[in-house]
Amino acid sequence: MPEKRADSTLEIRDLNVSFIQGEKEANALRGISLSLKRSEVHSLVGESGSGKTVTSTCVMGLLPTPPARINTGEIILGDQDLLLLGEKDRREIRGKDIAMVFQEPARYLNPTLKVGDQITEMLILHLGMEKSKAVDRALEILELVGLKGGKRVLDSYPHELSGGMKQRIMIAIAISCNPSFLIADEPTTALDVTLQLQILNLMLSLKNTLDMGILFISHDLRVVHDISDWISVIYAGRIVESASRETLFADPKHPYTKLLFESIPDADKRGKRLQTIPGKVPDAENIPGGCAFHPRCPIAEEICRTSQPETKDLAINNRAESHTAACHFIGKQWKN
Amino acid sequence: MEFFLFILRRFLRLLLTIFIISTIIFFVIRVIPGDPALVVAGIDALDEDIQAIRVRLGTDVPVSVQYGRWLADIVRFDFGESMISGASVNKLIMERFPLTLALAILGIVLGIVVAIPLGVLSAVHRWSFWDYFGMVYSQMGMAIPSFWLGMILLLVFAVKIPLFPLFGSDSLKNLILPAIALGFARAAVILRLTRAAMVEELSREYIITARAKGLTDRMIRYKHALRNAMIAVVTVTGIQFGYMLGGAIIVEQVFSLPGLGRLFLYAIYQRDFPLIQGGVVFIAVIFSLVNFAVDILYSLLNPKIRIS
Amino acid sequence: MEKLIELKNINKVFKSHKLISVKKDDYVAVDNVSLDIKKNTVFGLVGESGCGKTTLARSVMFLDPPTSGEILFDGKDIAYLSGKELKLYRSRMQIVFQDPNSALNPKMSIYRCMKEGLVNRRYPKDKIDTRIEELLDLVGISSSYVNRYPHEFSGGQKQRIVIARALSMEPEFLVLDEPVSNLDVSIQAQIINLLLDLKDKFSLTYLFISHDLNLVSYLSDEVAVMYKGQVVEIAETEEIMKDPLHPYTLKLFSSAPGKNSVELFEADESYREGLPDGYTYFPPESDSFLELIDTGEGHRIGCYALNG
Repeated sequence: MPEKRADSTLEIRDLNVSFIQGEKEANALRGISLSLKRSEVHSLVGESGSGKTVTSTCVMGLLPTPPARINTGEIILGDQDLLLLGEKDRREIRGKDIAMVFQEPARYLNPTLKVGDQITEMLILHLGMEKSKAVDRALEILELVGLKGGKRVLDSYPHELSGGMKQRIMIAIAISCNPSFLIADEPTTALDVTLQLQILNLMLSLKNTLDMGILFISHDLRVVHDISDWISVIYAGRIVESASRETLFADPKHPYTKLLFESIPDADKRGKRLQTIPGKVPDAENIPGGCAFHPRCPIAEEICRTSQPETKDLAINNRAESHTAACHFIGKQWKN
Repeated sequence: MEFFLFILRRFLRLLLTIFIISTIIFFVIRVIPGDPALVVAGIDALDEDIQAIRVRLGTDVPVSVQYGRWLADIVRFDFGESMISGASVNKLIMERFPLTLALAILGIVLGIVVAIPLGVLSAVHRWSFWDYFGMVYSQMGMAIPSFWLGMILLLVFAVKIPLFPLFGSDSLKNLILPAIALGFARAAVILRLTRAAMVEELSREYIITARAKGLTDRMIRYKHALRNAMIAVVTVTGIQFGYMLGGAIIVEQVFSLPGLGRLFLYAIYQRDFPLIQGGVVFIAVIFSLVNFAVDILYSLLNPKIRIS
Repeated sequence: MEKLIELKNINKVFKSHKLISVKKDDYVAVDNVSLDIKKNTVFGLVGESGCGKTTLARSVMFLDPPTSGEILFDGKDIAYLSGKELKLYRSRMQIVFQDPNSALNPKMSIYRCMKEGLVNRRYPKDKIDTRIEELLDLVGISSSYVNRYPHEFSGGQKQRIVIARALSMEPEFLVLDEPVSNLDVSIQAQIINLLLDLKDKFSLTYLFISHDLNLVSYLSDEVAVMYKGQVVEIAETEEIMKDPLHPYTLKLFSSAPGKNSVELFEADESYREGLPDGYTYFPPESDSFLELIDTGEGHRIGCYALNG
């Protein structure tokens, strides 16, 4: 095992990213702050177009600029701001300190390279291993991700493996250099439920054995419920609520979060109509002024149209952990 | 085992193609108006002479019998004798084939050497000098006819600046100019395809993975993207090579090279039916063999094909 | 309750098309499936990808007729219908797919896309425009949008338009193949509510195909679980949720997210929950025949008879 580094936190502070297309400017991220700890799963939940993927690509340093432009913000790993680094330093961090797992392993693996090569090239590049040592290490990693068959698996091409095996290979690639943080962008969305559970369990166990932090990006509240220590809800490029898993599910504060929970179908709601959120997620080009959620919000008032709510920490009643939400009327009830 | 079966399947397909092509050739030639025997004998020939020629050509029996004989000949790869020179068609073809093959190989090598690196450069540095250069080149390559290019090359590099010989076919030097004339347009096709394939591969998701792994741009381009792009490039290059083998007629004419193209051209002038038939079948077989080879190569490059 | 759809022993086999092959490559996608769908109910079909649920749906719709078996629509076997009658029956059943993009022609305005179907079924010309407005209104799309093109709508809106178009045929039966899987959570709920409203309003019957157990258990009256082309368990939703019996159903249910990490259920040969004597869940021989055995009140499980 390579030696552990001291980077125990990954902090995203006030990240503002827009996409410039001709005259138009789309505000994809409007002040995202997230704080990740090692050995913790921090989930970023939101609907499509809310800025989840822009956040992860930005943390990886894979955002094409232009068209993207990082207006403000810091991404701090350990004690250095990644946004201040040059492309070469940035590249050395990618895969080595922060690695990523994607949604569709079948498309995110190179179809014409043996999976063994796809694992070992990282070890050779980042850790300077010899080819034969890298192969030995790759075999260990396969064991870690629960793939039996050793050499045979290394010698196969992606299409020769099942969907679940391919995702295990993606994870093997990501953890090969023992990164401090893993970004998982909808890693189980393309998988069947039985495989999904296996992959989620695998990620949780790897998190513990390798002592890494996971930024888990998902639209699926149920999956997020199962895997997270901490959850941040993103809407139109802003974090609207952030709390520990237990707190968020027991006591959601932001109307968007509440409505999301109520709109999930399950057997208990049989015979009743589901709660819906009217309208749709706004485009990044046309984000409503004030609170971006106000046109869809059941409790919106005049102030919501004009002023953007501050993010408040609700950690009152001597509760130690923070629970933040950005709403003018936290806790206000409404009738359906 | 799977791979062997795959090859066997492709080989059977090859045989089937050759069978279909030869059948088509047989009937097309029968459909063309005019009795070959009349052509050979001339307008003022005697009936007995014509009948004798028919017997020699084998056109005196019903078409079904002729077709049976034709197939039997194909299986033995025997196309009879040239009506004009009396030499065996096989011998005539085999005398000329090495030169055409050499010309095509040289042409395709020149094409590959120019087109693939330029295509890759164009795709990697889009809208750069190399990309525009590649675009202009491929436009020109497609627009300029090979006979014109051949003549210009002769004029410049054999007449004005005598770097290369004007005539002859006995040394490699004789083949350089014709190979350029032949390969120029083919290279344009390969270049465009290489660029398109590379651009396409660079936009695929596995490239994002490669970047997320922190690989260098070089590794991403040449180890990851190019390998996948080559699958399409190889196929098209193979087909281009096939064209060159069959389509060197004009270039051989311009450079007075005694290759297959000229042989067949004269056969057509002189209505030398056995030679025409043999020639067309030969080209078809060569083309099918090239395709067969491309299929095999393709499957080696693309691991997915080997299984399914 | 009256049955609208009866499937009897439906099989769908995809034949291998290889020239030569060592092993038999025929693929049995749907294996002897029988089930009944009652009028004005929602029948949920769950299973993982590749289990044959979409193939079964396509067979029911006769988009891809089954290899064998009977499909009774309102008591009539549609396999024996003539072309004209079949067309009539086809319009009584409609299908909505997961991806609205592939169901809508991007070059056709919403108006033209809706009109096409109405013209096809000879709807009185002068009433077409008002009908289109009515239909769009039903699914919550403003009729001022009729001249827009599909790309101007969001995914949820497109799915609404697809539903409106299906309704224009005045169907009694809708196959809904993962209709909300591509949509966001908040949009999913809107579409599901819409589907439930429409069902009540027009007494529709749904075959709802999904991999999302929570969704199926929310809206179905009956549920069938498919595994490797076979139905392994059928019961009323409340019954199957309360008391799932088949090991595969248990595995599927236990892996559904939202329960805070449950161990994956893996049954072994000794697992016999709910089985009558003389039966087993695991095929005793490779060619054993799966039977659906009623364990009471319509709760049926797929199992194998021991000793023939």
